[in-house]
Amino acid sequence: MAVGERVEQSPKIYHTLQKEGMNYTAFSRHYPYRRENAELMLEAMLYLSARFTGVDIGSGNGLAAQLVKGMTEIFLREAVMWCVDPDPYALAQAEKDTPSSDRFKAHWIKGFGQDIEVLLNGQIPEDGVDMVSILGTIHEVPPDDQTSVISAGARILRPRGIVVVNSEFTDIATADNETLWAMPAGRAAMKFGRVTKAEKPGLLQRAPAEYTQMGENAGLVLVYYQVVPVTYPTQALVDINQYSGWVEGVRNSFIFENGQPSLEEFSRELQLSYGRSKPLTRQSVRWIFQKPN
Amino acid sequence: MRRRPEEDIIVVTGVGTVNPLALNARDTLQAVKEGRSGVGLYEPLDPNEPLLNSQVKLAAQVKGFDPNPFLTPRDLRRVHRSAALSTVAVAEALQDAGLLTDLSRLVELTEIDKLGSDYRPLDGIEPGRIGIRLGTGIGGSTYIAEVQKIIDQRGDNRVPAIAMQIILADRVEIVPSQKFQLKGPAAVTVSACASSGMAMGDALDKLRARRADVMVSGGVDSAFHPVAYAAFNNMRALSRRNDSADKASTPFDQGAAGFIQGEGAGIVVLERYPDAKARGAKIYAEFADYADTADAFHDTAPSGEGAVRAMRNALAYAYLNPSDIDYINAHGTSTPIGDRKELEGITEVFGDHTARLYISSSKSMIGHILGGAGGVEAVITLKAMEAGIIPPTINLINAISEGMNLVPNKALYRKYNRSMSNTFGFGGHNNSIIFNHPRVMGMFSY
Ligand SMILES: C[S@@+](CC[C@H](N)C(=O)[O-])C[C@H]1O[C@@H](n2cnc3c(N)ncnc32)[C@H](O)[C@@H]1O
Repeated sequence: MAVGERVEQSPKIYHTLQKEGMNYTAFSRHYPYRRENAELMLEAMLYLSARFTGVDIGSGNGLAAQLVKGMTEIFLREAVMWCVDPDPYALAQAEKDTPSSDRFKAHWIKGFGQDIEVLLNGQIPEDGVDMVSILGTIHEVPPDDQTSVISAGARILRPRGIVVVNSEFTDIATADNETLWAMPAGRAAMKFGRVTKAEKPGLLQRAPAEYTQMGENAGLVLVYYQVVPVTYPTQALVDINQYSGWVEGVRNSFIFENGQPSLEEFSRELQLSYGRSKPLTRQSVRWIFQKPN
Repeated sequence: MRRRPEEDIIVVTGVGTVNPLALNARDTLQAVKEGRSGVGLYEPLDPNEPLLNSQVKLAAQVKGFDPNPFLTPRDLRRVHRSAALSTVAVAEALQDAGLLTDLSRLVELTEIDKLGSDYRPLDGIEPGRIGIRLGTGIGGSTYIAEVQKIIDQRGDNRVPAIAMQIILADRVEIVPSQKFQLKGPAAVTVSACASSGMAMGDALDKLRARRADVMVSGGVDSAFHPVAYAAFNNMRALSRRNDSADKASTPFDQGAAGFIQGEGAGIVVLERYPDAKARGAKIYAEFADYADTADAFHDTAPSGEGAVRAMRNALAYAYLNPSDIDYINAHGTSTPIGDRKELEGITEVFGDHTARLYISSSKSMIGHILGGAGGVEAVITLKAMEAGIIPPTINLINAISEGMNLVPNKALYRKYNRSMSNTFGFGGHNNSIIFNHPRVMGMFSY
């Protein structure tokens, strides 16, 4: 399968994978994004012991593993993580950027969050792992599968283990500046002729409470919940438009009367357009769920 | 190591200080190199001043302070000494940053409201985009005791109309805000002796959230008043070694017997790196990150745990490993329990790397400037890192811990890349900030 194509046209993912020149790497270096995730991981550390194990679903370019690795140095702990993503490009980049250390080891596994029980069978401890992280990913899982990904995460946890989730794609994410976020995208789309808004947005943006409910339905207890504003500088807005997942999500929000532009073309226009935007804020929602005894 | 995008880098482009060692940053660095002490027997500014304290005679005072040309004698009538100190240090920092070049544009405080909204004493910056966030522990609040005296002795109708302008803590930033037309976000942060560090953190957040393009930050305190001395002394926080003033501030020494109250201001100018680069501004360091925590434990004794969390969180936010830090400008006040807890905390956070760290306390030279300590110590740290100097802990004869390099008595000459500065406050406030040398600007470890 070539990088940058749908994985076997699988229904388990609904956007185009990353590839050379169209990836998440530039964006995920941005401070506000890392900070949001670092704060959540610091919170998660409160529930973890001196040696812990974790599974990261949608590991992308390895951010969760990098944060956990850093925390093992800072908190003098040890951790092993199994990082799962369907995207071979992202996994290769992650592996390169996240070498193991005395305290930290990561395993990189190509696959879907929906399949972790089978994928990790025999690899993770039998009594379960201490943490499952799903950072910036749950909204990318096809909506009908989101519940099953969270439930699968809950099943591979040991009692008192945690599921750590965040998302900047809920229906409150851009509530107070929706137009500012939408305008540059509209301008870019119009470069390709007449466009109308698609009936359904490119990405389903649920209410945060729906994700809370999914965790509770999986038998987990919500122990931490926060909504945090994250302000992105203009360069970060440019860089997110290098990410194929985002670009495709935006492209699917429009109907192009003269035919869809390619992802590369659309990405270039989006970058130019967001490059003229002022810094913009999104609301990130964070959850930590715990498995009862 | 990877690198943050330039837009995410916040840098220090100017520093200013007035403190017991010197009246500006350059001379302060010289005094630090020489390991001088700024502590002495208290000298009243005014011969009619009442006795400061019956037991404690020690103080780290700013000597020879002359606020001219930044504040005129008329300005000074409506300004507590803490606000005068902060204003002069802000002026130096703005000059150092290249934002204040023409002093003839400055006017007296009472003349400002007569000028139009296009009054711009600073160069090349929109007044609404430059803010100020300073820390102070006490501000002008000791003046309340003076007001009470006036009421008791001469009646309440004799209280000066400007009394409130002297008392309020925010005056330490309002006066420079007016003087230099800093019209962005302006506020003080009050968190006892951690005030300055917290203010600098708040300023960093303002820049990150793009609420301002330049933030002036740091802090100040000046509280040589019988009220402050009696209160600190009666909780046994102050050293009573009146017979050996310059040897009395002894952080990390077995003989540590309390802190010496100091006064002063330390100011930094912060901005985003692309702006600083475009202006061709000098760059002292990257302000990599900070963390604040609360002990929620005891009024005066540290829990230790809170300080550990502050150091760890600061590392985590800066994406640095403990082994990336080279120098710690410690809180080290010269109080036995505080000094010991801090070194234990450092050992807990830095593990094996502790032995390779340089750790020193500037308070051995400047005393404890309370809410202004973090500001002055940040300036010392920045100037020293720039010059490749590790500031000493003077008066250190018998260290309370083994296997740590507490830089006894003599400054060291070393190139290094990263400094952490700690400030902790009564009530259990903890603040740690991290500066990266321009050599490693934007670089992070994980
Ligand atoms: C926005 S990225 C976030 C990556 C990383 N967690 C971070 O925060 O930097 C989302 C990732 O989810 C992955 N993804 C999409 N659908 C998935 C699924 N069904 N199971 C697991 N990962 C999936 C994508 O390949 C992508 O790498």
